[in-house]
Amino acid sequence: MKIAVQGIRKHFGALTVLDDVSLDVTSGDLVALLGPSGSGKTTLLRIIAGLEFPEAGSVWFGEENVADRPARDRRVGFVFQHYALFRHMNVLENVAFGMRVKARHERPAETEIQRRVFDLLRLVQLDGLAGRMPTQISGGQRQRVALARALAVGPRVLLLDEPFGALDSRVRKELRRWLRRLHEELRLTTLFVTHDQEEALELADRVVVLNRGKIEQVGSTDELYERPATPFVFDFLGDTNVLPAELAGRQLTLPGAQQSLAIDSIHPSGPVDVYVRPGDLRLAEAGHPGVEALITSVQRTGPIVRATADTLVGGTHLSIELPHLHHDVPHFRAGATVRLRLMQFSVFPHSERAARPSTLEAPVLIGRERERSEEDPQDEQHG
Amino acid sequence: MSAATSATPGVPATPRRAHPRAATYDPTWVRVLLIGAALSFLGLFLVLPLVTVFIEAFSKGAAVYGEAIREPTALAAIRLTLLVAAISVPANTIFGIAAAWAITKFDFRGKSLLITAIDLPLAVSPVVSGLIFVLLFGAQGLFGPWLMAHGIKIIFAVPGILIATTFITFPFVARELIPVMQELGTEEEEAATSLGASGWQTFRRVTLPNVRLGLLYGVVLLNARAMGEFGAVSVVSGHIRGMTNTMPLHVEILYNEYQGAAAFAVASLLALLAIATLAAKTLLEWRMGRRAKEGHA
Repeated sequence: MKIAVQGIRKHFGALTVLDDVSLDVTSGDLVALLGPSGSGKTTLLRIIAGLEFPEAGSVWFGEENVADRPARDRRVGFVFQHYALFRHMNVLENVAFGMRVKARHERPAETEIQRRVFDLLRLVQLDGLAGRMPTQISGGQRQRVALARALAVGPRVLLLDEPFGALDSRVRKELRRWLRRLHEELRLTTLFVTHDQEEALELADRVVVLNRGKIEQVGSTDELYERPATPFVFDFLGDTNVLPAELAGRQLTLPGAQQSLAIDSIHPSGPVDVYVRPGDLRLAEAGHPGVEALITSVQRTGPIVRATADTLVGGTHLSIELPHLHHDVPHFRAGATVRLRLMQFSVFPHSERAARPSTLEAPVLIGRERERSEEDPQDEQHG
Repeated sequence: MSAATSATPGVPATPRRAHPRAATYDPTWVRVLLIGAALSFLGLFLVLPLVTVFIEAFSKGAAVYGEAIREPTALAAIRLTLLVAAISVPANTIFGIAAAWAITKFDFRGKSLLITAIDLPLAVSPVVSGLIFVLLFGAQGLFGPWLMAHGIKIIFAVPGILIATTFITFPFVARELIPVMQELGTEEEEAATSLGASGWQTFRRVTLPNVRLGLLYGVVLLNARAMGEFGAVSVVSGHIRGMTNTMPLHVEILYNEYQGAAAFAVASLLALLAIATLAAKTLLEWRMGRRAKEGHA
């Protein structure tokens, strides 16, 4: 089932939770709603489920506008963050609930209900636990009971609110892969809310990045990494360095750099912020434009060597990450001065608050240059 | 399950495991002192008076006891007390559930006012409560002339006793349910709704089973007070023997007439009713506990 929301607005008192949000979800897609807490992602999910009602806007399931339909008529499967299993019912009764509350003429016979419950429990790999109470099973098992319960009503869409939020990291990774396989099997249009970018990028076909009640960007993992639409998206998807720079025409001049870089600018000249990930900084070879910086610390953590540096001009603090076998590593010693090349970066208009990009007011990408040195195969794992 | 149980007063907590090196282990003398203090307090203020009531009731023999409770005015008092309980208990159970539901599941203007209003009957003296109804419905009261003109008698009649008792026992169920429902939150109800359950189905299949222990406890308190209320009922009843005397009022009259044994006989019956209510509650609790355990198999 195709889902669309159009022009959704929602306030809680004076707080704007969703500000004119529109979104299309292709039938059969697994979509992540990603954002920090307070970004409105859970509210959007609850509005789609009918557990919350917007002040303006419409919600479409296929060709049907369900905006005024109460939750019980929408036929959505909703999985709550804390599972919300009925605590006085055992696993079987929980899963059977949605079928048992159906009107008499729609309700399957009790034997049919039982058969379907056991089918679903097999699907979520919980056969044998039908008689257990929710308190007698583990968190991961509860999560799967909640999923089976949601699937039991034959939902048109599946909505999951922070589905793995309350689980420890090992169980979380396991369940994530399992949910992905289940999705391939069922092909049910699925939306899930998460604040964990790794989870969103690993699990979803498409990721919707939300910030302060607005959608910042919708795209695949690659699109979000390769072409982040806003500084917020860039910053939210990983560690970020911000360098002040000057843009003149298509020429980008980094602080203290002798040479300028050519980028495909689509914006007027002036001060800009250059966003670069720690893993995209390398030693610049002679002839390449670079930024001079003083290494202040070097530390190895597992397979990654992390260094910090301050640019000689401007004193911007930089974090650098290298694979520990990289041929640049010997040059990174505390107290050494190096010239750093930006292998891949994004350029955004300058903002006074760039140091904390998540507070930016939806700026636009004005240009992006991507450089990758062919003779450096070890970069691939970091690109 | 555990959340509902722990939020309900009067439900025994899980017995502490006998482990000599537990972090919360107290020296023997502390335990002996605390348990001894609790038990002797219980004996002095609860068991002793109760036993005395029964000893006094039978002080002049079983025949006097039997006569005292078979006497027509006593039987009328018993009937009236049971009638009052039979009406005010269901009425306030329904009101209590509705109020607790409204307060914990919705946000609305005047919510804090409602919470305060629920406590009002507990805050004012029962005598004042009774007087309020005399001022409203009595012959010289606000609605008195209108009621008289239509031949409706409330004060010094059964309706007055019902109104006063219902007013006094207003808070018990709501007071018990509000914390339990607050702790439960609304997620399970939302889950039920999204699974297609109607409001009534959600209430009956999800909310009610989750709050049943708190509800049971509230109803027991409500029933005990409905049968035992003295002050407010005393003001509105008019003490007409065989007509508007409840059991507590009947006990007082007998006592004032120096019929000690008869007074204690009726009092013992009242005490027995209270004990029966507690026994019924314990039995229900036990059966609920057993049903929950069967689910675990």
